[in-house]
Amino acid sequence: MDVISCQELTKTFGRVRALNNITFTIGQNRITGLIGPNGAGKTTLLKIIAGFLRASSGEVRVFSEDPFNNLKVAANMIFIDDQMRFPTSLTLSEILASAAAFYENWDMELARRLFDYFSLDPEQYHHKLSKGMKSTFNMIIGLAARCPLTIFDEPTTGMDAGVRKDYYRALLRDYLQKPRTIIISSHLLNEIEDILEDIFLLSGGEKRLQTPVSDLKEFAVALRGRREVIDKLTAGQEIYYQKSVGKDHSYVVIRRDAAEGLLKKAGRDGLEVFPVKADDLCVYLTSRKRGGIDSVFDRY
Amino acid sequence: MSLTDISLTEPSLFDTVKKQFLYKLKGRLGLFLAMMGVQIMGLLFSLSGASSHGMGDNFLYVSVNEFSSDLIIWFTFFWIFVVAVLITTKDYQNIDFTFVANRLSSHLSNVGFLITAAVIGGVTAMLSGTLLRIVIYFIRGRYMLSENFITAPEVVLTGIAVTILYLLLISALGYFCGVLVQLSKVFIVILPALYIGTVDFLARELPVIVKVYNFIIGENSLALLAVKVLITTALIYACSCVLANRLEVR
Repeated sequence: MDVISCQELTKTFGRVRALNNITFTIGQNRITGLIGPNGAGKTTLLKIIAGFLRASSGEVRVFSEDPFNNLKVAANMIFIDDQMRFPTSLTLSEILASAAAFYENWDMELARRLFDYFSLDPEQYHHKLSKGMKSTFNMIIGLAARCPLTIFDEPTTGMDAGVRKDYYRALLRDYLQKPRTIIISSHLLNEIEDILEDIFLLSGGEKRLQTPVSDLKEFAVALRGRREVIDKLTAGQEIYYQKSVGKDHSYVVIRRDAAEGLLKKAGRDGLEVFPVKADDLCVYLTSRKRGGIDSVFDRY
Repeated sequence: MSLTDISLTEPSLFDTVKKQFLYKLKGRLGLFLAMMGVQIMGLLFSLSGASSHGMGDNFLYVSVNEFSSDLIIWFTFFWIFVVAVLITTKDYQNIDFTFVANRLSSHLSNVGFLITAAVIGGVTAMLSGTLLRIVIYFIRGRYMLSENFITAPEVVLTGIAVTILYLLLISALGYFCGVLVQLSKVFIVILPALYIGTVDFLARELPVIVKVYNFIIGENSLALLAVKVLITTALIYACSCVLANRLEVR
C-alpha cells in the first residue's frame, strides 16, 4: 500500500513556482530521506503532504485521502520542525501530557526515558530552551507520538554532534521496534545515509531522483583522464559534474551504465575510474551549475 | 502487514474539538490573568467616581458623588475583543496545528474557548461591581448611602446574563475581524476605516445600520435579547468558519 502518492503536483506562491510537476509514491513503513539544497522546495512538499498547504494543481493522496484540512490525516501524522509552537504557560511535562491526549499510540514511557537520557528538565518551559534543546524536545514528541506517518523537517537544527548521533540511533531503534513511514528532510545526505532506505532528491522544485540508497551508491562513476579524451568520450552524455584537474586533465561524473558502455567501446585509454560517494552525488545532482562554485571563478 | 504495524486511527470531530478545547484552556491561562489585570485597573479608575457634582448656598453645600462599575464592564468588553482577535493570529494557529487539528476543529474549539471567556468575564465583571461598593464603603464609607447598597439577586443575575450576551457578541465580532485580517492584511486598514465610517457617515446615509444596531442592542426583554444575540453570534461564527476553512497554516 502506498502511504503517499502525488500526481503532477505543482505549488506556486504568487509568481514563484516552489514545486513543479512532481510525481511519486512512498510505500508503507519505509524511511525516506528528502534531500535537496536550500530553497529546493523540501518544506513546501512536506507541508502539502501534512495538509497544512494546498496544492496549486495536481493530486496528493495520503492514506488514500486528500490531506488538506483532513482530520484523519492529521490524527495519523505528525510534523516535526523547528517552528513548532507550544503554549508558553505549559511546562515540558505538561506538553507531553497534552500530546499524549491527542495521539492514540503515544508511548509515554519512551518519552520519559528519552527525557531523562537527554537530561531535559520537566519543569522547564519550551520557549526558554536553547535551539538544540528545542530540537531535542520536538524529536522526542515526534518519536513518542508513534504516528503511522512521521515527518521530520530538518530535525537536527542546532543539535550538537553527539545529540545528532543519538537522535539518528534512537530513530532507527524505534523504527525497528514499531515500523512506520518516516520522512526526514535534510540538505546533507552524509549524516543520515546509514538509516535511510530510500532517497528522494529535490532541487529547484523538481524531482531529480527517487531510489533505494543502495542503488544510489551504484548509480554513477567518475572518470579522470586527459581532457580531449574525456571530452570525446562523453560527448552527448549527461554529465553530472565536471572539473578540471591540473593543466590538461578532466574529472567527470556520469551514469555507471553509460560509462560501462563507453569504456567497452573506447577501451581504458589511460582513463581512471572511481566510485562516487552517495552524498557527493547528491550534491552534484542538485547543484545549480555543473561546474560547481569553481565555475564562478573560472573566468579565463 | 506485520503484527507490530501501527494501525490507522479514525478520529471523531467532537473528540478532537474536546481535546483541543481542554488544551487551549490550559495553555491560555495567561489571557485570564490579563482579564483580572484589566478589571482591577477598571476598579481603580472607578474609585474616583463616575461623576460628581455639588450645589448649595452660603449655609449648606451638597456634593453628590456617583460611583459605577460600568468602566469595569467596558474594560472587560475591550479585553474579550482583543483576545478574540489574538487567537486568530498565526502564533496561536501554529499552536493548534502542532497536534491533531483541522480548520473546523480549530475554530470550534476557539468558539468554545471564547464562550467560556465570555461567561467568566461576565460573572467577574458584574461581581466586581459589588467589590467596588465594598471598597468604596471602606475608603469613603461616611458618604455611602445605605439604601440600595445590597443589590437584589435577580438584578445581579440579569446584569450577569446581559453582560455575558454582550461579551459573546463582541467576541464573535472580534474573531470575525481577526479571520478577515488572516485572509488579507488589507483588512487591517479597511476595518478601522469601516468602523469609523459606519459610526459617522454610513449611519447617516444608511438608516438600515442604525436599525440593525437598535434591533439587537436596543432590546428591552432579556429573553428576546438572548435569542437575538445568540443567533447573531452563531451567524458571525459560521461566517468566520466558512471564510477561514481554506486558509493555509503553519
